[in-house]
Amino acid sequence: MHRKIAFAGVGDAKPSKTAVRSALDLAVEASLNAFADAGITARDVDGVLTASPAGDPHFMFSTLVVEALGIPARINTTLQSAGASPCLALLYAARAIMSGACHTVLVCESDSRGARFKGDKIQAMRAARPWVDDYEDPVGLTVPGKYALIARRHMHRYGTRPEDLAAVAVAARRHAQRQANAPKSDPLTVEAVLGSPVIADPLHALDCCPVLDWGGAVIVTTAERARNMRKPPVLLLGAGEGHGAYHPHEMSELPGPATRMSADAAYAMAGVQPKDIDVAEVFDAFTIAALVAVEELGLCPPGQAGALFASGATALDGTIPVNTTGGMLTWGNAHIIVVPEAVRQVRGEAGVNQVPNVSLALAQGTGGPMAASCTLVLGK
Amino acid sequence: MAESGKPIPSPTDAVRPFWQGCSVGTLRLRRCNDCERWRGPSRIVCECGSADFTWTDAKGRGEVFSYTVVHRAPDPAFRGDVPYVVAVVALAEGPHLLANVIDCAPETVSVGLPVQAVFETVAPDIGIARFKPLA
Repeated sequence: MHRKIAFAGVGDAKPSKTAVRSALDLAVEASLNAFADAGITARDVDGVLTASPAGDPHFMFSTLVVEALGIPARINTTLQSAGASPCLALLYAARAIMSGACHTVLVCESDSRGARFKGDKIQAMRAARPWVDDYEDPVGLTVPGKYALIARRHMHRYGTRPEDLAAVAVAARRHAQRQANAPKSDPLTVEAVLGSPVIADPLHALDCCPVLDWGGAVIVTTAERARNMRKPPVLLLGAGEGHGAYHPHEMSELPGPATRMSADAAYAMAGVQPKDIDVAEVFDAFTIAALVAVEELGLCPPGQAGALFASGATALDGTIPVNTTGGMLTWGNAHIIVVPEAVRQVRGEAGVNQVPNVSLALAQGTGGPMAASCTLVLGK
Repeated sequence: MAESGKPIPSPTDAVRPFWQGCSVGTLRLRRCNDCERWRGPSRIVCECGSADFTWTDAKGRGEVFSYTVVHRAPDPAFRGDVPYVVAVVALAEGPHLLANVIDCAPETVSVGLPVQAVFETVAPDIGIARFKPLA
């Protein structure tokens, strides 16, 4: 797979807080933008892998995408691994192409809860989890609560403080402020994060991502085909996944080993080390998720990510720029956001977010309280 | 749904003894017949690979492994409870459980706090284990 697969096109749905669009509308919009970016049409695609949209599920969602776009699909299915879904879908697309089952796959993910629930996160989260989990729901454990359990362990093990978590939100906001269309762009301080309402201690409101509408799409194909498409190919150098228990009470440590496993596999395939990474786009639905991710990815030693974010090292001109768009903390629970941005960084097309001289970009996604993870290493 | 409006577990036969145990005041977990390890409630198969087990009563003591204090309730039924503690409790026998820590001020909870199980029956044959600081 190393250097044989390319990400040839990326696209997003235009953010809006008011236009009510379905998850399908958003997926289609992002997909058409990805086709345009690659210089292809839906007829040039022969596979579709989508994430199951949170809060707007549909029987056979990926088949709705096939229908809407008229894709002659030879592989097609919907994945439900929460925030790990898009990166996993890209890895599975690469494997399918390597097997000869198909040659060009559309991977997309979208979330329609923003306009529909007008920013009401309680309703949005309930819509995403319509079931009763016998262990979590009777005790009133929330999604932020699950990440708070990880945060508390980190505080216990390494002396991490709420200020360290807040530093992640402040760093994300600095990147958001560079972009004219960012949904969150007012200045943010550590004090303001700590002064925002407590959601699930130690997480405050500003440690959690907003609920907004978004959609993202990526075209995966062979390196050979990508060379005849519109943009210079961005090659998949390494990819790996890692998995463990679903429930926090079945993990012997919080978080479980999924992210580290995925990173180790991705680095091994790419033949690179963490210090070689020029820019990292990581899952940051909650500040603690990004803080733990950079440690699990080996981008800094365990227990030192808070200091890393506070030091400016993760800024565009820092030693390891992280989440150059402002991430999910800015754009909503948009798990796929890490991939289009990593592709743009490698191409040198990231505009005001561009890190100079990017050879290697990393994208990481995780689902559950870091229960399932996937890491991708991209380069030229 | 309980009278309180809070969700209640709706176990299948495979895990009913765990919830039934809680309704009669005991923490009943699968214990491996091959290696004697105890399994968490969501683990059907043991770390050793064995699926063979006996439902066995644990002592109901442990310590807080991690916790959060929930201030934003996930559901109106929990609004009267905030702030409340949801903890991962490490039982003396090994397995971890998700449970509320009660009978103490949330700010007095810490990782390592010794706790003891107390039980509330929420439906016929369904109990919920909670924990309080060990006196």
